[in-house]
Amino acid sequence: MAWSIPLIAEASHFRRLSQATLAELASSGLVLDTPPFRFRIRSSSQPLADALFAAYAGYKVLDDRAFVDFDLSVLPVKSWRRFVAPLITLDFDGLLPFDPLPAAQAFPLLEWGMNWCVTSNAHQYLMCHSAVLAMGERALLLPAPPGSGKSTLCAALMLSGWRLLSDELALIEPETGLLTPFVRPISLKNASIELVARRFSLAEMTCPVVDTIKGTVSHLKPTAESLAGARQRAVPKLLVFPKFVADSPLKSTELSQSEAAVELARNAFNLPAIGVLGFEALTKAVEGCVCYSVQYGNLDDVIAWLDAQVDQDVEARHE
Amino acid sequence: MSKPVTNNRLIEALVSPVAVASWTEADWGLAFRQARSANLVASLGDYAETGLGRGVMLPAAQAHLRAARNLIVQRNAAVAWEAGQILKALAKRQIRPIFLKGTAYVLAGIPLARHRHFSDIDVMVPKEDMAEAEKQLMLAGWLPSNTDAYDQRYYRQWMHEVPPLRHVRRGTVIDLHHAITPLTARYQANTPLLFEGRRSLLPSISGADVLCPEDMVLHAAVHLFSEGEAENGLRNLLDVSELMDHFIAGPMGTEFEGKLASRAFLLGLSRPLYLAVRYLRRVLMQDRRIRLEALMESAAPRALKLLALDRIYHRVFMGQHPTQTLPGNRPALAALYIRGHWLRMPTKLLLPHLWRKAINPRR
Repeated sequence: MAWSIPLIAEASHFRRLSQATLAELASSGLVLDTPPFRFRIRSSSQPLADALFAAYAGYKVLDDRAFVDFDLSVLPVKSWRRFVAPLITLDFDGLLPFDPLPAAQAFPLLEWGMNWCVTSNAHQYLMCHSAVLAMGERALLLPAPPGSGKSTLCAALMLSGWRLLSDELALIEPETGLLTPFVRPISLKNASIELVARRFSLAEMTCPVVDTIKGTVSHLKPTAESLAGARQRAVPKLLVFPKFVADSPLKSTELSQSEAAVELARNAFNLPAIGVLGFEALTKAVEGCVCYSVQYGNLDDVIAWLDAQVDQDVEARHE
Repeated sequence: MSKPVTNNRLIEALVSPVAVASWTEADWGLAFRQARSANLVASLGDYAETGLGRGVMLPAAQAHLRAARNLIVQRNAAVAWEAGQILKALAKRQIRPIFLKGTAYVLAGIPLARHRHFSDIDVMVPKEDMAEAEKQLMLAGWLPSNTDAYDQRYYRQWMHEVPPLRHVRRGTVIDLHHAITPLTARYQANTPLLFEGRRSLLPSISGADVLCPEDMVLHAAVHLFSEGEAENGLRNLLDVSELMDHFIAGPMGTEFEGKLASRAFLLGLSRPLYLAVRYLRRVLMQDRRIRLEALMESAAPRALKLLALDRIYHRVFMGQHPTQTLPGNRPALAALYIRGHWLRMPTKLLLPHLWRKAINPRR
């Protein structure tokens, strides 16, 4: 590219998660570096620790000198129930935003808690419900409501050579329209867990947790390439609204940028809250994009199609 | 686990903004998390920027500040427009409302509005116009929020207020008042004098009135000390401080303090003003309030009561983030909660109400 996007600044004092201990997690907590945020995570839960060390292997742990954005504790609820059906709860800087859950769901609770911290507070960005992946600095946005098969597609793309920026949350910078990565484990549900495991033998996932409010849940570790690009912003180039329909052949419909912008706005978390700034972010993000809605029944088809599309430029198309 | 007071970065920045220049990264992180819990992120940002002078704030901290400011900028733009809609609706019956609190700060261009979050639009009309005002607002789309029969009775019969009105499409909420203190409350402001003192915002906003400067301060003070929840305690105390500083910096100068004191006694709100000034001196170390505290000395409660209030409010104002809370915080919050209700309701209503709240805390 003719111009380079500056990297997000890196912390200078860190270790790898594998060097941290369970004892630390349970007492003073671990400060996990998940750019652009730093979470202090504290928990005495064994299932949480197991999943955390698996899904976040390779992530940096910062020391006490770090700026902590959000302080999360997942701790047992002290009640008579703890001998029969132990519950855990999430404490976010003194707040308890969720109802307690069965102790086995500690890691999903942490993940949802981390998402909640960001969507409730990170109004320096326009935030949209969307998967974001990239080839180099060229980004693909896949906005879709939950249950649309977006996570499966996102996981498959990541495991097929795309770098992951986020499986759920597009962070759009209002001044530039650029996408900031927020690389975290991909949340997979129900049937897609087995689907991904079967198709990608190298995929590393946490132990599935059953009976959550979203069904059976497992988290897929980000690829090394995704983690390596955790500070590299990307330029939105391809905006695709995916729809999975079993056994359907690939059907793509090009959308005008304004149609696509309206649809993307529908998937925004904080557009009314930040008003005009949000519209600016939306416009800047979409104006460099080629936009489609795509129906597919076969992962291979849609991945191949996306691989081909990502190199298209919106200017070239209108010549 | 002991929590040394020196961990209270938020208070440190509010008391002495220049201290932020020597903060470590960890200090900044802690300060912003404490501020978030107190709804003071944007305020902390402004105080910190003052303290830094030409120094640059840590980028990670700037991000949180930008987020808070983005919300406020949008909020203030929306409120100015909503105020216009409210004026139009009420003008149909020649009702001229007085805008209160956050909305007033925005409309009157008071600097405080730059860093204050708020959600509801507070509006006051004369008691005899309440029914008509509610009707006109309902016709314009603001409907009583979804409350059950008990809550409706609570508002209308006991507190002589209207429940919050929420717009059907936009979701904005209006709190419609006829006084700044509920009819049943123990602090009673002289309402006719409040209306008499009203100031017009002409020529900028036609038909919009706000309280006169002294009354704005007194309203903030009585609101602060009528609250039963600690969450916005420090923020409300800061409101009083910043309003006073703003008016003292204006054409009235230090004469404002004398006028404020007289007005407080005239309106019957001397006790809340005394308490506000007392805690500004003792918690936020504001020596500049010495003269005003002396003027208000006669409004102080008797020694034993003052001791009890000090115990409660010292804890409330130091902050509610887990790293800020002082020993004895829980009992202080419980006492505050009861005091808040005791101040607003006659005893015969208080006990059944508290009992009902105790059984079903979510209501």
